Amino acid sequence: MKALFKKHFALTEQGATDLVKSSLATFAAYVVNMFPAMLLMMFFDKTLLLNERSNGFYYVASAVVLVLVYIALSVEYDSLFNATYKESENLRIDIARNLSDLPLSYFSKHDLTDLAQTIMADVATLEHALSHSIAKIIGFGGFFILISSMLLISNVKLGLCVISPIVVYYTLILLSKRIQTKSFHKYYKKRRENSDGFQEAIELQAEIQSFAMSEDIKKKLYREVEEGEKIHIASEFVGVTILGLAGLILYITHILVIIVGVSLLAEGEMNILYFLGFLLAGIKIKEGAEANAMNMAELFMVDSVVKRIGEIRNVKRQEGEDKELSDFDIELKDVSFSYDDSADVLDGVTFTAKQNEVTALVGKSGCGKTSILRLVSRLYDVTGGEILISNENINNISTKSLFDKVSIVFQDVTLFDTSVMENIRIGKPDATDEEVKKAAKLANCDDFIEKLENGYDTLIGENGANLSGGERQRLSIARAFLKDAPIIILDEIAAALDVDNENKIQDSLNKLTKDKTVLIISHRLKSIQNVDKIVVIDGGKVESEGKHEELLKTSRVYKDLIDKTALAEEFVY
Amino acid sequence: MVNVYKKLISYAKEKRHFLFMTIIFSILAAIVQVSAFYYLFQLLENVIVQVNMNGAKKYAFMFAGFLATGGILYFLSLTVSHLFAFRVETNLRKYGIDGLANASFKFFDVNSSGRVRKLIDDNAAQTHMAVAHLIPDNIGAMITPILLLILGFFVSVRVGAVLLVMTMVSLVLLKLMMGEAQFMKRYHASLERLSSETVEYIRGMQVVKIFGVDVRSLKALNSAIKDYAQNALSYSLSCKTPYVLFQELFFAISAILIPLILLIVDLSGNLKLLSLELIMVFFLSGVLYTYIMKVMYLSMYIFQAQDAVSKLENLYDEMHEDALQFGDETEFLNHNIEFENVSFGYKKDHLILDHLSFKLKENKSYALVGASGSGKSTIAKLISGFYNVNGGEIKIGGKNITSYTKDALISQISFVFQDPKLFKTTIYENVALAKKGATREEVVEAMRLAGVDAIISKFKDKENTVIGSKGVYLSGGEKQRVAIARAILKNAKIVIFDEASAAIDPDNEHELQKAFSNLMKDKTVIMIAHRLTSIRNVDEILVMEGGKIIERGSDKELMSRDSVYKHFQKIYKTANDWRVANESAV
Repeated sequence: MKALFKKHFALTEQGATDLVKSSLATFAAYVVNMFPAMLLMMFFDKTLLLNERSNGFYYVASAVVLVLVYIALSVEYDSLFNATYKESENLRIDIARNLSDLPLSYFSKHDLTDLAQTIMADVATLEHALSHSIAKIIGFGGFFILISSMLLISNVKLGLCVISPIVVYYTLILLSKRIQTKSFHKYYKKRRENSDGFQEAIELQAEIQSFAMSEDIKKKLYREVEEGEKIHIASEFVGVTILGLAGLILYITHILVIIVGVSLLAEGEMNILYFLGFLLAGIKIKEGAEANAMNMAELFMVDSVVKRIGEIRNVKRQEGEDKELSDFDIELKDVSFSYDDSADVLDGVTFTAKQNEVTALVGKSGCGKTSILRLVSRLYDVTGGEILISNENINNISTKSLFDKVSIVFQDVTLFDTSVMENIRIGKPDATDEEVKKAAKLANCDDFIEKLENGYDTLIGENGANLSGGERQRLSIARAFLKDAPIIILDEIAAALDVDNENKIQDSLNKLTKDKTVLIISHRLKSIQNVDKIVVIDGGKVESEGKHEELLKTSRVYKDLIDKTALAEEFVY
Repeated sequence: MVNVYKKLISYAKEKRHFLFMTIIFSILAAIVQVSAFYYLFQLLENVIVQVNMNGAKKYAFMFAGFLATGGILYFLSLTVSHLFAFRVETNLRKYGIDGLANASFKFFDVNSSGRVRKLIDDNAAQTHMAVAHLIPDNIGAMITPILLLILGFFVSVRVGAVLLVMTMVSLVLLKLMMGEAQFMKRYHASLERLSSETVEYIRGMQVVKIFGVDVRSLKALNSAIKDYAQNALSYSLSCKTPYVLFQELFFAISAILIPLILLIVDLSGNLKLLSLELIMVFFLSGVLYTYIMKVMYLSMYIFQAQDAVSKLENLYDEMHEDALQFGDETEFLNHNIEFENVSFGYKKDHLILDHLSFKLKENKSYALVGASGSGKSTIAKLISGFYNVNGGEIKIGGKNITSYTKDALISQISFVFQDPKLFKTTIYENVALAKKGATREEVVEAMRLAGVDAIISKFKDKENTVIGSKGVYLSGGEKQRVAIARAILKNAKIVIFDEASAAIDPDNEHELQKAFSNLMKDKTVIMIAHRLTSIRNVDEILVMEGGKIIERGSDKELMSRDSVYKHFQKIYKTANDWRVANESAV
């Protein structure tokens, strides 16, 4: 049962154990909560059937019932709520750990904010279901079987009167779930469409407004929202009607018990005590059944949540062993790659970036050069061929060993909401303040850091909101200096900057790349003219490779790019 | 609580009658259901006291009939409230759509599209629960206990008194359970911290992995998780005693009453009546329990609804607060552009432009030059007419741009910003939308002039290639060329061009330059170009620094003296000539 819970509700080991416990506690509470009714029956035995018992018996019995109920409720409470919060804590930590094990490609493929919010909301949903519904349903299920058997044993006819409507009720609820899932699917599809339309309308506001399309777009969105409402109504209608019908069927319990009971009573087949007993049981069970129908509705919602959490756990990990890498040639052998089954972006790419050399990737936009950098830095994994470092397929090297030797400086820099000092220190967590400052100096960061309010201790705001693009870039170069890894990957880093910043970045770059294996992309072709090797990529394939002068003669694509650059440089508006 | 509902209701005035119907149905449902228990009382009286089974059967039908009718009425009220809730949700979205159409571009600069979409989507859906389920339940929860007490007193003073005491005790326990306001505050603070730490953790994940330092951010997240769990747990613990006692009061009422009866009541009286009263207490308290539980959850859902509504309203306020103003002028005397003491900033306390004044003449070309953050893009954006300034006036043709109608203003200005967006339709449509009723020839010519013909020749479907479909990829520079084709087709008098620096790839840059120079002909042009060599022939260069124009003049004038512009040209040349060098290899 534990394993089943664990799987079915995406729980941790402890959580599954706790769920078993809380189900048992809930079951016990249901049973114990019948005791007061039994006590009442015993009292009626005295007042209606005049079977004398001593007052002392009732005092003791009442006291025992009160204590038992208190214990049962209190144990149930602890197991439902207190254990739940512990479990949601464990679950969140577990998911956080899982996330840090996920391949980088997972984060490249998913919208990160969406992911974060989903996880937060999902665990909260699961938390609520755990503390309110799941154990209750299981406990009630057990209790229902127990009480049904007891009722059937004591009187088959009346027992059936109580039980059968409830069985029909639950059947209908399950049926309505089926139907609802189907119609909801249609609604969710529409809603997703609407969401996409809405997103597009927001993204394209500048275009929509400047071409006087606001009214048309507004009308279109209005129409879609209205359509969505209609589909929503239709999709809920069927399910709700069945639920309403099911609710009415529950009342049949009362009618049957009373009519049949009164007949039996009139015929003298049963005494009044039994009749009252069945009436009490009937009303209590109906209340329980109704309450649990709401719980079941919640349980249905949990399905998709569990699926999402499960997905994160089941993503294939980037595995590999810890290895000490000694030489740092990067070798691509027949590498092919595509994003999500679409057309191949890379197709049979083979080249080597040698240690102590700068290798530049060049090509038209969309030729696949950025994808190559992403593959080498394992932001994505190859779909065919292999990438070797130290003659070792990078898929077989643990990401920890690999990233130990690689510094990546990308166009977009991720900064954390902490001090400048800590943001640089990420490059080498055990670095001293002095080392950090030295790296900052090498990256030409010190001039702007000194100007900040609190120097190195200045908090930089969420994702470094208070810094300019150039400053952010220099911080990330400082990280790379601090890390001092033998392999350096540079992606178009001087692209979005103004002249002033660019000079400083260029200065520090040449210091950084000294004696390293460097793989670089630059739109500014001039800047890479002197590198050791230029690899020209065209249509996902290596068109040619060599030095600048050779390529001018041998590579049509390279020559074309150089010519176009020259034209752009000479161009005057 | 009333306020939340008032607000929600104001969003669906046209379906107000549904709300009244819901209220009426729920009140009727409550009355009918409580009445059912009156018949239960009659029934049991017949069975226990009068021993009249035929009478009992009659009441059995009444009991069940009333319960069922009550159920149907509740169901009806729920259906109507759902219809109302759907409309509220729909209208909240529509209100958001209206806001989009009027919001200034500042709103879109500050808020990411995904965030805006998600805020509206999620929170509009959040209101559903509050409206669809809670309106009927609230009314039931408020009315039923009162009706039950009345029925209790009708059965007998003793039954009524017991129920009254139970209600009061449970209200006291409920109050204890709600906890202190301080406590809830702390709880919500920890929840928020958890949420922002999660976002931060995931956002930094790539960096964390690449640098192999999962310590700090994981630590922060862990502590946020623990802190939240601790708060939730201590809240849960503080509720335990009152909640357990509350449940015990209702579940074990017989165990409380029986000893009391034995102690106080004279048992030589009518025992049958006593039994009847006791069993009525048992039944009625059961119903009472259900409704008091509903009251308990009420506050939680109300809180959620409140939260959803206030998030939406904040967003909408932000949209509407900065809504664009237009006038009724349609004629432009000329196309001179004038900034008069213009101040602008994204935050009130941080102005990018502060009392900036300058004039630009029609049919001249201007280039803005300066470091990033100097305000050059801001000027280009403000001339587009889609921003509200914090102070001063922007004039075109001698009149404030807010005095023109929206249509008149946009017909005069074309802009190609850094990051133009394309609709998910064909490339042809993406260009054609710039001019209503454009002929095919016009569109094709615009595409040719902007060099879009070279782009579409890559694709099998040519100009009918659908943006966003499989294998269709346009670089930033190519998107700008499509945007330039639009601007050529639109043929507005004023052209603003902010060259996309990040997006320019070598094979594109020259095409883009050619495209833009085709667009420039006979226009008033304001451009931001990243190749400083390319702007030497514009009529005037405006050099910006810290939101101020520090120099203006032709290239010739500025180069002839020791200007900042000259300095820029110099470092531009150095940067452009820079080479990556692996020093050991050299």
